[in-house]
Order: sequence, then structure tokens, then C-alpha cells
Amino acid sequence: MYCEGVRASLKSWEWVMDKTDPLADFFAADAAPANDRAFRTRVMERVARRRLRIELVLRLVAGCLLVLGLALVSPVLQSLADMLGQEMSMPLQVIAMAGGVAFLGHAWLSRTINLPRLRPF
Amino acid sequence: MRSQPTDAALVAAARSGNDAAYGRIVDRYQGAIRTFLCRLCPYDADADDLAQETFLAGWTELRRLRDPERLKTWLFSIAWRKAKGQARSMARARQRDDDWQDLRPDSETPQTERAIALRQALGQLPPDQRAAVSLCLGEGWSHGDAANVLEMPLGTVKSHVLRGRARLAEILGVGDGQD
Repeated sequence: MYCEGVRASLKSWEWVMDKTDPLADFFAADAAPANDRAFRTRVMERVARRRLRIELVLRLVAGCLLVLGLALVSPVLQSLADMLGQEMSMPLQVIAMAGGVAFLGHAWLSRTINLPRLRPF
Repeated sequence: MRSQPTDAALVAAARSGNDAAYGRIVDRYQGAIRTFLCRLCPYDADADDLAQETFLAGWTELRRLRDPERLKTWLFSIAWRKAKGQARSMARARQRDDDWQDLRPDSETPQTERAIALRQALGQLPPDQRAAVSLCLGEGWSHGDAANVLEMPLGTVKSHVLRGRARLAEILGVGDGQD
């Protein structure tokens, strides 16, 4: 039941149980299955659910920060537009919108689905 | 034949988001962790829940593991903390009327009878003593490693193992093997 490596790492006063120990059979009989696929599936399912929750929270926080940033910057953009005059206001809005659309398009095209990799190595 | 990846390699892969690597970690230690928790909890279903919680917490906290080679010890520490928390909450709340043996699979084979006898005997030990005995006698851990996992002084673990062993031998009606 106990390999020599384990035995060698024990101190001299430590209790060592070997096959002749009357309790060894009881402990050997009580061991859970070494590999239970159903158990593994349940654990990995919960891991996937937790990963999804974490990613949702992170994206929600990122979205809130983006909105907050735009709200902070908007007065500066507004004053800039006023400075450049009424005739430049429309082109600026078009440029800003085009930039926004380009950003969203890039995010959409480069999106990834976080599938678990099937082979670790 | 492919060699088995080390714990450190699996931890590194799992940290980089590889779920299959974490699945390998679960495969590697589920038997030991579940056996340990089954010996601490009166119900196998609770032990299985705790084992799932242990691996879930392990995944969440994996980046905080300083020494990946000590993964096993670290997972057992989490399991022990979960078991202690469970024992406290159970003492406060749930009372089950059914005999815990009813939840177990058939006990026809002598091997299973021995397992039941051991569980019943372990149930008569105090939780700390049960944990020390489970690790040192059941899993073959050194007293030092068990002391680290259980966060107890080395002398306390040694005392728990000696007394627990003697008590188990007495309950199970076998010689204590110290002759």
C-alpha cells in the first residue's frame, strides 16, 4: 500500500502502515474510485459556469467604464466642435460615428468563442 | 507511451485557460480527495458536494498557488477547510433522520462491509483526529505534510494518529499492530 519512497520520507517515530497492518485492509476497502468520469463532468460543468459568470461581470464592468469615459469626454468634444464652428460639427459627428462603427465591426470580426481545448499538450 | 505531465505543467496549462488540463488535475486527485472527505463527512452525497466545491475553489484560486509542485497538499488544505465549514453548518442546521448507511451502495461483499465498519469506527473519532488518521494512515502522508494541511502542530498530529489508530483498532477488534 505504501511505496518505499513514501516510507523513506517518514521520520523514524512516525507510524508506518504496511500490508501486514490489520487496519490496512480496512483503509484499502474504503477507497473511492480513482477516476469517476461523471464526477469530473460535474466539476468541469461548474467550472464552465463560473468562467461564464466571471466573463460576464468583467464585460459589464468594461462597458460601464466605457460609458463613463465617454460621458467625461463629451463636454470636451462638444467645446471642440463649438470651436471649430457649426460647419465642422457635422463632419466631426460623421467621423466619430464611423470610428465607432469601425470599432464595433472589428470587435465583431475578431470575436472568439472560448471553447475548451480538448488536448492539453 | 506518453509520459504523464507533472503537476506544475498541468497547473501552468490550466492557468492559461486550458480546461482540459484542469480536467486532468481533477482526474488525478479526485479519488484521494473524495476518499478523504468521505471519511470526514457522515454522508457520501455531502462529501461529493464538498469535493466538487474543493475543485471549483481550486480552479478559482489557481493563480494564488505559489508552488505548483505542492498542488496535492494545497487541494487537501482546501478540502479540509471546506469539511470544517460543512461540519459547523451541519451542526447548526440540518438534521437527517435516515440512517447514513441507507445512502450507501449494497454491502454484500466483504470488502464493502469492511469499508462500512471503518466509516463507523472513524465516525467515533473527533473530527481533527479523524482527519489526521485519514491522511496519515489512509493516504500514507507523513505527519509533517498532514500538519501543514490540517494547520496543526506536528506533535498534535502525531498524538492524533497514535490515539486514533489505537481507538480504531479497539473498535474494529483488530490488534493495534504495535507489538
